[in-house]
Amino acid sequence: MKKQPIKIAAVIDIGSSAVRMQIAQWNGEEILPLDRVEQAIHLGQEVFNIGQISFETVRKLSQILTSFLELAHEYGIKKVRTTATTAMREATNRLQVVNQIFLETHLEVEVLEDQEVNSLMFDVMLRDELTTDAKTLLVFAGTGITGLALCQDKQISFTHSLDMGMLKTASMLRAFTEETRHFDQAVQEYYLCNLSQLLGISDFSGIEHIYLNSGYVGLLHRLLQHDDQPTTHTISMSEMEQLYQSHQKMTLYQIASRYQLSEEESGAIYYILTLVHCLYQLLGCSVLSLSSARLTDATLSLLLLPEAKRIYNNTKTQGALRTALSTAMHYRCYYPHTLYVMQMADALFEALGKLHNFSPHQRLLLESACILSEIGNYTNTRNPSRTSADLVLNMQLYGLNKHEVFLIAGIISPDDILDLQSKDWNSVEYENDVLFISKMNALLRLACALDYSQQQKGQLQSTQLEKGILTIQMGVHEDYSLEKWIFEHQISYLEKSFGITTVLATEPVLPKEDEI
Amino acid sequence: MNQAPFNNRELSWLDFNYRVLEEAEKKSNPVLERLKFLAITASNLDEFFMVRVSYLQDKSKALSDSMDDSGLTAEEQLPLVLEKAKQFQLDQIAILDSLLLKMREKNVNLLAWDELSEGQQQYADNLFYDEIFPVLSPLAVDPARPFPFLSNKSLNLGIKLDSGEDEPFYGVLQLPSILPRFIQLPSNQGWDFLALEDLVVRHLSELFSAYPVLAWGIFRVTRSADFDADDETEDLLEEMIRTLKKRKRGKPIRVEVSHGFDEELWLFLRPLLRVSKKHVQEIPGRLDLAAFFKIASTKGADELRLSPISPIQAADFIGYENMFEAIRQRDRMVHHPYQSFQHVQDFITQAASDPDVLAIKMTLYRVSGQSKVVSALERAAEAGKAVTVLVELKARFDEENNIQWAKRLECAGCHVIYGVTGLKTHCKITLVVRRESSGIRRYVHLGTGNYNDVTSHIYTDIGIFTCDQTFGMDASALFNQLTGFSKGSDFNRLVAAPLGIRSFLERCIDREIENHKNGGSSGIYIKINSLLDGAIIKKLYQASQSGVPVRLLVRGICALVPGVKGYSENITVRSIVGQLLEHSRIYQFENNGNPLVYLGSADLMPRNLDRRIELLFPVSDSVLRQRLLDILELMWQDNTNAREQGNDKIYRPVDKQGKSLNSQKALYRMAKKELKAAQKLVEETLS
Repeated sequence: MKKQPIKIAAVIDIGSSAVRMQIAQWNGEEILPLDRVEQAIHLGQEVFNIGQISFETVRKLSQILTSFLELAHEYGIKKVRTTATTAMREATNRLQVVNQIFLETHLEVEVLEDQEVNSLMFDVMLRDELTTDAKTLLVFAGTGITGLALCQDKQISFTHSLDMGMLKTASMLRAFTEETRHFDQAVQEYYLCNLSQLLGISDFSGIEHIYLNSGYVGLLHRLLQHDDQPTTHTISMSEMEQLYQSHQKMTLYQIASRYQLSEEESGAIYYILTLVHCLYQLLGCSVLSLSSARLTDATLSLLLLPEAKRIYNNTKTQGALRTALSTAMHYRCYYPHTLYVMQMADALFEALGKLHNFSPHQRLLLESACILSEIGNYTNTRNPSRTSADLVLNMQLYGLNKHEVFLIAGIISPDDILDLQSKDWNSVEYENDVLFISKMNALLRLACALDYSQQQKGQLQSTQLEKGILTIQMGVHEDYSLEKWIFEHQISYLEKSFGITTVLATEPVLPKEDEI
Repeated sequence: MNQAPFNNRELSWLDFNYRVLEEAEKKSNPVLERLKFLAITASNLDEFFMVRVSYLQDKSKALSDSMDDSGLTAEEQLPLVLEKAKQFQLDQIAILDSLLLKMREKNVNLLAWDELSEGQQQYADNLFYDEIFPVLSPLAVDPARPFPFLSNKSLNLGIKLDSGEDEPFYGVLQLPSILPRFIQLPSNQGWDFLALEDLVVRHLSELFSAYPVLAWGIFRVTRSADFDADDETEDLLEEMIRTLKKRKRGKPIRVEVSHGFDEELWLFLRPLLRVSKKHVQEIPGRLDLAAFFKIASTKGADELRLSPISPIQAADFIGYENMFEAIRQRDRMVHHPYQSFQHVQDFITQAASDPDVLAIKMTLYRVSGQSKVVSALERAAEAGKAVTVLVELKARFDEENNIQWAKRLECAGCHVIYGVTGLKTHCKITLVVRRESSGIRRYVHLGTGNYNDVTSHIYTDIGIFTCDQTFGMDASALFNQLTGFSKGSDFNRLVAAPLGIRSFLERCIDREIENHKNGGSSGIYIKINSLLDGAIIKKLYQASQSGVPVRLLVRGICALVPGVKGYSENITVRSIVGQLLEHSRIYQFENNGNPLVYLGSADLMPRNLDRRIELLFPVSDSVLRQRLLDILELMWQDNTNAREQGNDKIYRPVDKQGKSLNSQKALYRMAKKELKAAQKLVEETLS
């Protein structure tokens, strides 16, 4: 077998409370860690209090990054992938900060969205042996956010990111401690309110296992008096409950004093204990696994492991479709119809893809739009498309960022969404988005038209594009007049967007029961 | 006895110096070797006064009522220490007198002026006029002029002059340290010396020509050096320079005066020296015995010294030109000075010139003035490699030296870090990052002693070379902490102070106790330089009380008292003082038949465990571990240079049962045997 080349990579994560760099190499068999450094920096405190990152902090951040780069150079690494998360993203002066960092260090900082962070973290957790086939709730307890994902058979079917993390818990706790001696109850109620809302969105029943990831898992092991500190560890929920009960009435100061922790660390401990306690209250599962994998572990894996990027993208694609589908089902969409529309849209996409240079990722956006396009129908009968788009716009789909979700909403209802979002995008990007949305919307319209009655009357036999005419050949087994009539009304969109005309040709066939 | 028995730190140290003095008395040692030991005790005692006595005096003045583990306050310790030190100096003089006679038998003569031949007198006078006279500065002392500053450890002459009136005039003459204390004279047979003060005294009337000399006396001032730099400062380098200036002008802590010092002259001088009576020591002989190093190392008199232990090649590196190749095969060990420090220098030098080496990181505590290590680091930085050096500026009495070459390293482009706030970095570690076809590989050298090519000829130390990736990870993590890249983290293999060594050793001792209770094999064997930490000593008492056999090979201070009923019946304490300075630190735990062996930089003193960055590292390679176990066993068998502490706190020579064994010589033989075997193996392989 041909020996794989040695790969060395360094990644930096600019987090809310620290900047971390990890350096590792792939030796053809495994990832070997080379170096791991961390410097505290309080971006989160600044951003969550004053909304932006101060000049002094930018300067300090640049100094840290410069020294990290020097360390990376010691391993002969020239390019370092650098990501930033919640604090940087939410800073109002984000663009200036990223630009200043680039000028100082030549590092291009990728500001990740919560969903991207979640996807990366969940990807690491899914690859871990602790994620079994059982129905599991993956929890990423971050500094700024709490990411949740439902998975079964190692496949994610739902994901959500809550705007509550270690920093928010700490500030909430400080405020409540001054107000009431029942501060623990107030914090718990807040958590339960946020978490229980999720129970209405997806099926949380039958969860057997919670798998929690946090950078503070090592501390938790210390509190649990585990001698060694493995990277992952499975413990009983009752052990965690005991720990929660013995700490719930303690202020951050008291926790910090007892264990000689920083206030940040004691905030993290309180956050994790309360989060796990509330999940236990809501879900009642008995097993908890802990992982201390970092975002840098996830990004390093992508850079070093062969095929990792492809597998990750594949997982994201599957996860996005699965979460879209489970959401559509939760809105009581008709499953055979949803799949039928997606199939039709896929066929049209395929027929036009080469000419228009469509990518697999664009197909994913179209497929997601197909799945979610009718959720509005079951929510609000007035202007259901707009309702669908509105719902999608505020939805979290596994592996997809805000812009991608915006595109999906746009595909579903272009006029409403493009008008709504136009100010947020610069002109070139916006125009590209308009063009893409109008093309995909045209495909969606035709696909929907082909099953307007939701009875899957026809089977696609072929599509052919020749001399500017797209011919769709359908074998139909029932009266197809309604679909044809609707189809005729939607053709103009395809003509306008693709510059081609379309012909729907039908011929009678016998029905195939198990077609879908 | 209700309270656990403890030796007082300072008295225990003086006991150690007595053990060195015994070597000066030992008839089996050649005469100049004995003189060298005598000089060592004098140098040691100077440092003891500058640091420890000064500390005790300050603490005593502050009326601190805190007691040490032996139950003594500083106020109680001070008179005991001064009394013992006084007796020590008297004993030194007695030994010197007998040694000078012995030396004469071997034609090494320290001569009085009258004993010099005419030619020698002529030679000495010429030398005086040509080289000595120009650098002397006779100073008149009177109430109108400030008393001159007399530098630390300088030899001075106090002079009473006839003013022609009732009140005499006084003068002071400092003998500059740049002048040789003993002048070697031309001689037809053997080696003849004249003391500098004897020559200068001959010419006093020329130096104070205006007034006749009525009387003169020699005195020597030792100043306090117990100053520490404030390392909370922004610029540690600058602060250290300031501290050194301060140290040079420290308060006098001891004044030694020659026997028969003129009373009137002394009554005049003493108040000006600002020293109390109890800190004045009258010496019935020569002052500044440390200067006898010069005579002890006289060229051409090798037969009057022990045959030197000249470092040889380490067997572990025979057959390898490239050290990295050797280390890749397996871990390598070098035992200095039996095996050459050159291997360590080669490691750095090869790394510096190896195009595949990307980075070198190193801690430096004490290095020699002409260090090849420093030169190699400079070359590496100039060649574009990333070189990071942690220079510990707070290494006592080496600060000035360290500042000099730290600046040199900076100029060469090295990234120099001046220690960690609040902690002294005492660990000895080098990390070399190398790009190889199999990826990045890290080579680590871990040692028990400093990267100092000069002391490596005299100090026994052990170093391990490894490219085990867990050590590499730990070394990187350690340097990241030292350079401030990251906060403290757990190590895979290394154990580091101040956070880890204390608890690690306590766990190890607990495990031995547990093993013993469970009927398993147990035992503790620790070889260190000083044992002072109260908590660890109590833990060792606990082990002894539980029946765990404890062997301690402690060269210097040992606050633990062995053989005390109910406390330490199972503890034996020995100390080896010999030709070489025992310096390696080895920790062995029986571990139920699977011995754990750790090497490291840490002694068992509170400063090592709580205020320094120290490292212990395991030796897991079975071959190396067995070698270390053999070395430890051999040292314990020493019945030539080893002394054993009784429960009366007195050290006595170990019983010579059977053949006499000098462990240092035996280890040298062992190194030679290993070398021979390795060379033979290489030859056989080649043929």
